Amino acid sequence: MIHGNETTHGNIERERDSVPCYPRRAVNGATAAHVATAQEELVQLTYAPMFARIDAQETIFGDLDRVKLLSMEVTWPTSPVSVRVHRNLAAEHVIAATRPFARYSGYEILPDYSAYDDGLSLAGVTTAKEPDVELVLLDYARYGLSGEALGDHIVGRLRALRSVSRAPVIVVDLPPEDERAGEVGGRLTGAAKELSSVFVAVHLDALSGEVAPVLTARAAAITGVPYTPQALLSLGRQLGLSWLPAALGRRVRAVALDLDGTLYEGVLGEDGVDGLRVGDSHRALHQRVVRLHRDGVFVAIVSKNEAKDVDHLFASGVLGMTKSDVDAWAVSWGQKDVAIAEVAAQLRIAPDSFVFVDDNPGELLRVSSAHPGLAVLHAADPAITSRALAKFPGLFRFADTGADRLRVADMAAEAKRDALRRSSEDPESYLRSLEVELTYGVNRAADRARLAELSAKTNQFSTSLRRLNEGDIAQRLEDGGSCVVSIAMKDRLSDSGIIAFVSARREGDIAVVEDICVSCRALGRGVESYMLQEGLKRVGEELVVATLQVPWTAGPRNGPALAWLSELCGQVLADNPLDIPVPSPLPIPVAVNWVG
Amino acid sequence: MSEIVIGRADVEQRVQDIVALVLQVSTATASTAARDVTAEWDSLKHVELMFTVEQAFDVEFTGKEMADAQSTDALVEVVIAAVIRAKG
Repeated sequence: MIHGNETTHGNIERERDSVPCYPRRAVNGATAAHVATAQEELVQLTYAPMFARIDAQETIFGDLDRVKLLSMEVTWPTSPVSVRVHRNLAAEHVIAATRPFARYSGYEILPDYSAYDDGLSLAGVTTAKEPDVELVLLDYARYGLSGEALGDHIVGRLRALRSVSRAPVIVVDLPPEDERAGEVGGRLTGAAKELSSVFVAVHLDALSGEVAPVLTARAAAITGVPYTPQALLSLGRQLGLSWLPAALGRRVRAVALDLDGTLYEGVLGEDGVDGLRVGDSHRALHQRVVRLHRDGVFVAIVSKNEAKDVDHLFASGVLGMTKSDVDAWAVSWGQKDVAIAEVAAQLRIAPDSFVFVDDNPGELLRVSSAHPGLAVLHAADPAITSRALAKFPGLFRFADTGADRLRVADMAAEAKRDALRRSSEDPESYLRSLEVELTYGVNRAADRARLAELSAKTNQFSTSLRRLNEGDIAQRLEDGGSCVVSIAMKDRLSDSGIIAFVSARREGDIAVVEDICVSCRALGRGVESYMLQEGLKRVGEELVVATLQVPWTAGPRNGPALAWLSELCGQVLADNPLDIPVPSPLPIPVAVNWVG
Repeated sequence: MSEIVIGRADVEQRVQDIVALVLQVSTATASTAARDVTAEWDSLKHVELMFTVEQAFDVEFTGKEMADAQSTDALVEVVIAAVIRAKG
């Protein structure tokens, strides 16, 4: 069933009329020249950064071209990101190659280079001056070591670095041409699993054949780097678009796609399904969307069309994707900024975690101005759109915790839960029919990556709104005076994995509950109070206290967390921090397990 | 494949444009730029310049050519030599 306003009988002319009356600036030759009025110029000025990023798309995601990259105008805001570079090569060239891509991601890199040091002595590295990211960038050819010995050396230095810095560490792996790549890569990957926030950056472009070769000795004496010119740019693109955003916790959780002119050429309402033109580039784009969905990214269709036509389109097999590849629908003649809010509500995520893809710059402008923080992608060319959706900042992850795929499966089960809820006589029989099972863990190192992910993503149900990286979590897990309780949930319809955690530390005879965090996909089953009260009870037992102190932060979106806290203490939130006795769990029909 | 013929004047103009772009100087400055007189032309920019010119002309310099290209004029000569070499 495609959700949409089927009672509004629009037509294509209406769609054209409804295109926002923003200036139609020429973007990649896709739009008509605009008539400059004072008002339009003002709007143009206001939205110039968005247009500039659209203009940059082909340069950023297309074939790597130095002249285009150097000519790229950056008028959108960027935030400084300090990067401490541990190196034995001229890393300045890599950072220079990274800058345009990092700027597209919204970062201005502030590098701090170590001395050239094969031994990675970490001289001068202290916890006092911690950067946003530690980057380990090495010319491995300089080491006359076996793969085993080289791997052990690098892993040893990563451990040393981890002991003096909590910042995420990106270590760039050996290029595939180096015969030691497999052995060293295996050791690095093993270390990354064990050490917190250590990420192994693999030369993905080289592995996919996009860039070959990576290494050259041709000009190494002059350049000070072993990379070919194209490999340098490729490294810069991976670092700027994928590795840095991932290490810094950026995450795009959903892709919202327009239909006409984006997933195919033609207008569904005019041309009909048989009249649509679907080329190889379109099919590659469809496959990209399917792959994103398989990897746990939500897919939404946001289209001005008749819902029955779109139903027919997806059933026809014309597209390289099916209805099962789509998690949310907003097909109507309404405005797309409203449609984005609708699909965000269906998916229970914030609009700013979307990337919205549309061939109409006016629609991008309308949606982007209504939803600050939402990313947009101009679908001017399906080949570029497909590549952009492979490399867009926030889509890449170093390690797959499996949580994203669980979330997508969970959302598919939500419709069935809705049906159960409606057919159940009362909340208790509904819960009983769901067969909810909660599994608690205490101070489990294995949960570290997932807890950091949860902390980075959760907006609605977070009492502190603090963003903890893996290093922060690891520190709490290792601190004898702290207690971190992770909570996993499953029911008979789906396994949600770890969906909540409570973190506290003992201070005198009380426990300060620093973070209470619940994924939005765990909400709505009516078990959040139970699961948290059980978790808080365990905190009290572990830290041997009778009183909990809960500091809280009021933010724009964490109303659900504060409402729950208010309900728990039985009063309107005023005191901060809040002192409460260790609660007792509520008597509701869920199964509870403890592990670790 | 049809052969694209470019004249010396074209090479000079394109090289000057690239020098101006990479060093972030005016085209007038770029036309007479040299490593020992143009402050912006440091070792980092030198490599960036070599790689950008290589890509723009679809040629590959030898290590010696990269070392020899110490001014815009010298770079033009290096490009012409590399283009002729690439044509075989």
